[in-house]
Amino acid sequence: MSNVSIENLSKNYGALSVFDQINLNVGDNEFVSILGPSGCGKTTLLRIVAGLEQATEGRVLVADEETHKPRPDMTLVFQNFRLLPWRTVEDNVGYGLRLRGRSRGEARAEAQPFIKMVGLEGREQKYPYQLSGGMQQRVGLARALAIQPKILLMDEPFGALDAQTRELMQDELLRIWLANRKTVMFVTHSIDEAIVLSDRVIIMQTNPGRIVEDIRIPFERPRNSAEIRNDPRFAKLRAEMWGLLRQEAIAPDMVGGVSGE
Amino acid sequence: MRQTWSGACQVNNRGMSRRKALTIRVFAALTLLVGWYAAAVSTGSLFLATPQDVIGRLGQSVASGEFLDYLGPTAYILAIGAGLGVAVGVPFGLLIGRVRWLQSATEAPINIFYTTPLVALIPFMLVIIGFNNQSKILIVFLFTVLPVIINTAVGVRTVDRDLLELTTSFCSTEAPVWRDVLIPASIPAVMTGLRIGLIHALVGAILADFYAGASGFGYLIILYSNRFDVAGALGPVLVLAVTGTAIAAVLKAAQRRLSPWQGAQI
Amino acid sequence: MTTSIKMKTDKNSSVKPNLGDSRYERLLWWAGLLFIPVVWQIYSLFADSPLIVGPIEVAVASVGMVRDGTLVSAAGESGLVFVTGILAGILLGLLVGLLVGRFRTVDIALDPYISAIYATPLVAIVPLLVVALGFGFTAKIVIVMIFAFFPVAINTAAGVRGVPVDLEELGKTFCSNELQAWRDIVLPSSLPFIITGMRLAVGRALIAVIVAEFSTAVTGLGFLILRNARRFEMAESLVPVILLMVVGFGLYTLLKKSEIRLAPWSAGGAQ
Repeated sequence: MSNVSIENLSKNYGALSVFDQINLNVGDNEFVSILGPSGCGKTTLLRIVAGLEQATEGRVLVADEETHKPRPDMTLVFQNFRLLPWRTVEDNVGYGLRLRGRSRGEARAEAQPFIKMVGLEGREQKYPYQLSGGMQQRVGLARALAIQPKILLMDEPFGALDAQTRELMQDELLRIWLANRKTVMFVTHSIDEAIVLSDRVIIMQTNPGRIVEDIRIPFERPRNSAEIRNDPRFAKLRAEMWGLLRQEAIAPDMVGGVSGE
Repeated sequence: MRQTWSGACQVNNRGMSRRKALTIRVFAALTLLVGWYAAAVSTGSLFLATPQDVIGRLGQSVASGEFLDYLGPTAYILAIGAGLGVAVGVPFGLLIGRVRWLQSATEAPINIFYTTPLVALIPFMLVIIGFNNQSKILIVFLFTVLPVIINTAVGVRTVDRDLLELTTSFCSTEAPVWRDVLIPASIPAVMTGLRIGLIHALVGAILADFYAGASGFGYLIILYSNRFDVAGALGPVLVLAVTGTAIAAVLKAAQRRLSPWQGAQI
Repeated sequence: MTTSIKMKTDKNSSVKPNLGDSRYERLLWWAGLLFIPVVWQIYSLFADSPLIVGPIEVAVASVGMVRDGTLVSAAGESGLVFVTGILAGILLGLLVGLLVGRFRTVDIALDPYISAIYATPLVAIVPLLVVALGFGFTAKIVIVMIFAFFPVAINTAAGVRGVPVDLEELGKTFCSNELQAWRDIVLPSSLPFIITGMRLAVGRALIAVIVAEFSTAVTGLGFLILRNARRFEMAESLVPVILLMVVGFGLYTLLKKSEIRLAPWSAGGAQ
């Protein structure tokens, strides 16, 4: 069981409402993207699911269990990587394993296949400061995968990378996910990224933060991102989503504009 | 006419070759030595001793064993006092940095004692505890422990919040957080605290020698000074200068080795 | 079917603590401050040596010392030495610091020596200075000046030297001349360092005053401490110490506040 259920979730800081009455269901091993402009609360939503923040109202159920705190079967990949600067690649990937009682040697051994999986074989002894942004994020991904969670939460994981690396990572993620199906909730503000990666795209808007649309992506897996981008359906989907998001860009208000792509 | 920058405010070693830097350093050293010599000769050796006098007297002192006789006790109280200061200061600082309410509770007394000239407490302590090694060790301990606590606490407090959140997201309990994040991240600050603490310890040791009894390196300085023996007195001062610099250099190097990911830091 | 979940602030949450927390912390701060005098007082009551005095006795003694003028005159004497010496030291330190920071040559030449002396316990040369300069006013001022000079010089130099390259280039791009560069970029950027240097100088100068007065033993708060301690009048010997604590802490807080006021863009660090 690895479904996520969000019921009537609201979050506000005093008078400031981040989002209101959000309802969302993510099925087992579904890849769902949450797409929206800055300030719509998508990151906050993810963090509440992760247990790092608390909602003001409503509840989150993970595997049919009400959840307020981080869970061992769920993990988060961060936008700013958050690797331990004083650890090598293999010790970073093994971070979660050591927390579960493995010794250093055992953790390294168990981490090895995941290091291979993200394509960092040969760099086990490097330190984060010796790696590029893309490589660092692969370490972050490997670290999350190494504890074999049922649910993977990803908070704009490729946001800090340049455009080319970003596309490469998207392909990597597609490949990895295909081999290791999990439930994924993926926050992004890139329309293209959402379409390429997901089974479903949830579109959020600001003022108030809410879900406006839930779109199913028709492409079969395994997917080839280059092919998909050239598919006419892609352009249609893109236009549709852009239109939904664009409403916000025209209406000037407290939070920033829409990025789209 | 266009005005150009006149080259002010240059930052670091860019633009200056190592040879040139070395030449300037040597030149400066020579100038200083010559200046020292000239000043000593002109004002009469009552106020300044010539460099060779100082070195010469120092050599004599070492050879006769007098040097070690006085250095020994001071090194002893330094080792114990500073050792205790670090042994107490680091764990205490770690705790204060981590536990919010402890920080608030101890902030006032620690800051007050840190900004006070601890020297002023020495006569009081000597009368109460006595003119003996225990009071000297206590003095060195007090001088050491405060900067160690403060710097360690700051180090823990300023650990990257993102990394702490990482540990929460992986459901980490308290002990692994220390092993994985808090201690490695605090190492630079702890080293800074050690550096400052040890320098303060030296000060404390000398002051303890001055006032607490007829032994120790500081007392040697007083002995020579009272005899108007400038050359003799400057010898220990030179030794202290070298020691202080060595401590700073060793700790900086150690810090760089322990935290290779830090990059260029002061 | 919805259950309302109270907003919790956990240790690592980025949510700011609410006002209730900060009131709690102020309470703790005061508790921490008062803890030591209270424990001290209790200890002094139970200790059998008459030499161990408590805060209440010290307070009583202080009233007497203020009445008969000894405290005030000693404070005045020390204060004069302190102010004169520290001003001289700061001025000289600023001058040398600015020179060292600005002129690469001067920096390379002098820096190792200044750093070496900074790492030396300067108290070691006090006996010599006293012997060389006498037991009077001059000697004490020179001692204070020397103690204050080094932190100011070093930190000022670091500040001037450490102007971010980005800002330097900004000035060049706008064809700023020397004087303008100093006004717009160098001095504001160095200000936090300079103030840190002054803060350190204050601490060291206070030590210098006391050490100088211990060694010359004629006037001032240091002398008062020494004399009363030798007479076993412990309460009286602690009164100047408490005064120094207040002054030391007060000056430090003043400088911290003015640093925030004058250079609000700089983050506070250790030291």
